[in-house]
Amino acid sequence: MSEVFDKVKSIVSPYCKNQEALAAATDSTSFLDDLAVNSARLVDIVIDFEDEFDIEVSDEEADAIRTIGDAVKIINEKS
Amino acid sequence: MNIFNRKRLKLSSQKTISLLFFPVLYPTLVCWLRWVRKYRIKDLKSVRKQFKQIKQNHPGGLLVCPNHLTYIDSIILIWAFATPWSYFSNYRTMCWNLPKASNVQESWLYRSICYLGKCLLIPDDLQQAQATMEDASYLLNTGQYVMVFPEGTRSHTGRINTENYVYGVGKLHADSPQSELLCVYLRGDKQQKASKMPKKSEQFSIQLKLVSISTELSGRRAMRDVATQMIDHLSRMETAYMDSQ
Repeated sequence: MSEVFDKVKSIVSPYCKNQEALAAATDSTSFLDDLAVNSARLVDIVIDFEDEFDIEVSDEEADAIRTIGDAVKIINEKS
Repeated sequence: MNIFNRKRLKLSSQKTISLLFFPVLYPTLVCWLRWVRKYRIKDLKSVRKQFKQIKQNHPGGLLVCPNHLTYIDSIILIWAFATPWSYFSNYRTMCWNLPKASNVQESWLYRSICYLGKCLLIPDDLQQAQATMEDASYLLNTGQYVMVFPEGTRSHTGRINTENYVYGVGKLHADSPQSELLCVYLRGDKQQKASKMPKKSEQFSIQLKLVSISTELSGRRAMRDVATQMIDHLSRMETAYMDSQ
């Protein structure tokens, strides 16, 4: 997996209620359904992505982030 | 018909139907609260006087943000804020509420009461929930009173949830024309932690505090900052309540 993927995993870790799913995460792992991240915390996660990767994510782009792969794709496009 | 007009028609229809049923629904609910559940609100006159003053100072509507411990917090607060005559003569000042759809969707009776009680249900689906928040934002921008629980859900510890609150209410305030909002701390004497209903014969204390909240941030950071400030205010009100007991 890429460096971005690993960074995304470490950013999500504090908000993730299912650490086993996070350890075995793939691109298709869903933040809400698989990692049991509280939907309200997705805002914190996107803000952390912006700070960590020095990018800006629009509301529409943030709404489209459902999986780790979605996040990695947006970060790669913007970095 | 465009989205704006559809939204306006939907909400104004709900408000009109709700007003038509108000003379039946409101007294029924208050009778249930007062004589079946035997609830009492401490210093009721003082609470109503304060709310009246606040209404006079905020003719353009207001966001009302209470703490959340039971399913009927909003009903108790609506009862506490004003007399039925006051609501009937100025129905705009009876707060719209935003309960979770999942709490009422199993019962047509609850859904009907919610509709007639000026509730906009928040679905679990994020996009649909966003649409409901847009409706609430429209209401605030058109001079209505809107009640939203900043904690997002009932506090299972019985204390203001300063860790896992929602940020949507922050956006609601950031998008509203008002700089002030009304924080409300409601608590029954016997209420230890979250429950579906307060205990029978419960006596409630209610504190109202108008607060001015602003932020220099934008977008989702502003949303988070505003929501955090709301929770901080509620938390301070809770500390003051606990210290006074």
